[in-house]
Amino acid sequence: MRDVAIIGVGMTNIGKFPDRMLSSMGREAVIAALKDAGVPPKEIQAAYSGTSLGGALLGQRIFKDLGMSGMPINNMENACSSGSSAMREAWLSIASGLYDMVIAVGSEKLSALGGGTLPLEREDLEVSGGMVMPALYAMRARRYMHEFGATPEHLAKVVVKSRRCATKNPQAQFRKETTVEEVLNSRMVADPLTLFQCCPMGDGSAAAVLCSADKARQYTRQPILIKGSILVSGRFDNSFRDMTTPEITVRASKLAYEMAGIGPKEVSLAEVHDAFSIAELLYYEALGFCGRGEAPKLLDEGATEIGGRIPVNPSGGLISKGHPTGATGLAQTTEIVWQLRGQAGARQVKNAKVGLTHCTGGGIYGLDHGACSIHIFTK
Amino acid sequence: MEAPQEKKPVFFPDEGYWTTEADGLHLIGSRCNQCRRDYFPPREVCPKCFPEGLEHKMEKSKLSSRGKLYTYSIVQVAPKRFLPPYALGYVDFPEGVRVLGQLTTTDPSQVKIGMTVQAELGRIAVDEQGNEVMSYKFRPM
Repeated sequence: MRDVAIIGVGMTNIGKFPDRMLSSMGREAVIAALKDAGVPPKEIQAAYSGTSLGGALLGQRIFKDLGMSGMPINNMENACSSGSSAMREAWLSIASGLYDMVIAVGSEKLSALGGGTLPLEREDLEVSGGMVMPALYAMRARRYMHEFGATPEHLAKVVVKSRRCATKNPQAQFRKETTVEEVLNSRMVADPLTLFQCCPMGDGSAAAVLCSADKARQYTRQPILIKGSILVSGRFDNSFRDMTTPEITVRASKLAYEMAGIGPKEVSLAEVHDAFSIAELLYYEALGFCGRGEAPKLLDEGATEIGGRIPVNPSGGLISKGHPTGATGLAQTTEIVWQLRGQAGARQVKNAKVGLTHCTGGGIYGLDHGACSIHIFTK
Repeated sequence: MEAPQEKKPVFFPDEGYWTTEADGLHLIGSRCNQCRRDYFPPREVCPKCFPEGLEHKMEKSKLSSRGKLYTYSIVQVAPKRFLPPYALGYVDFPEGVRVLGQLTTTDPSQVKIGMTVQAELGRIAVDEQGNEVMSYKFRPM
């Protein structure tokens, strides 16, 4: 397999844009990524478009009005992992030697769905019985608190850190600081998760231009190498699965670290799937940043702040930057690329050398999550 | 004048998924005749034996009517048809099967991880016609 580099990234702001067309947001991200890469658009040999609810042929709807048509366009869906799945296929197409230069774009317009929780697949038994994503994570939180003595305040502290990081991210959806009290007093969604602990519904798009590593230096002095690219699906289990150990993330991260030839200690910063406050705590442990039950302590120590030893979600994460589901995997990639290049402005992590993105997708009965995709990037 | 449409309870998934006995409601699942594992809901293929290429058949099996509450949440925000607030819980049955279901109470003082719950029939939602949707629910004991 050949080495693959990212030579350009771009993203829209994240927020509620009911007057924007989804494909228009996709085009904005694509144009930004191509400009950042400095490549003539006609050099792009294939496109990978991820969206979970954006409808048929979104890739074609994005690219045809740019005159980028006729090439292979792959439309991918893996729920909230759609964008990172698109990245993964883009990586694979170059690593395998099939193409030299491709583009991946993730887009979502959740404001088009009205309010409430994310609509899930009604054919699923648990969904038809009343399961919603906040409830799934709420039950994980309840069990985690029962087993390890974590408190609602620990959950709220995840959100306080998230908002603080997002004040430094002009493209984030929520950029105002908050307090533990304000988080806990916000409206209850599924106990113990209150509104501020849930990622918002939002719109946005992000894109990345990928290129074979040997060609990358023709375009940029700062190619970012993809050292690990993993996609796994959840393992079906009808029995007594430990809901405080996200098996899909544990498995995917082991494979990603192995592929990249590193361990969790070598990671300079990570963008993880904090769809809800409890998620970030569980992922500190599942990604190997601390031991079982130690996540609240890691957070309390300040280790995962921008200035800490393992910054997590310096962008504000899903909770504050936002979670236009299909875009997220590529929005995380954009942040890591900026960080590794030293272009992250006020939220720059010092000495960023190795970045990790972690994205999970979907809730269906019997699985931890439907999909998980992890990427590891280096300078 | 047309008579008002009569509202009738509907069953979910359907009445074949449970049986009512003297000691209460029992969920009906499947057991693999090869590896002897139980599953709910019932199915035609064993998720353990099929990928191994092992010959097997799924037989009808019955779960105990009581299980242990592994975790729960009281849901405030959800699609209207579920009439929030309602409580959801994962229940672990002695047969090695975990089932998600609504609880019969939304009072947090009555619910505790590890407690025994009893399966029974109850309303979990209303459908588009306004009919009550009846299904298995779990009552704290």
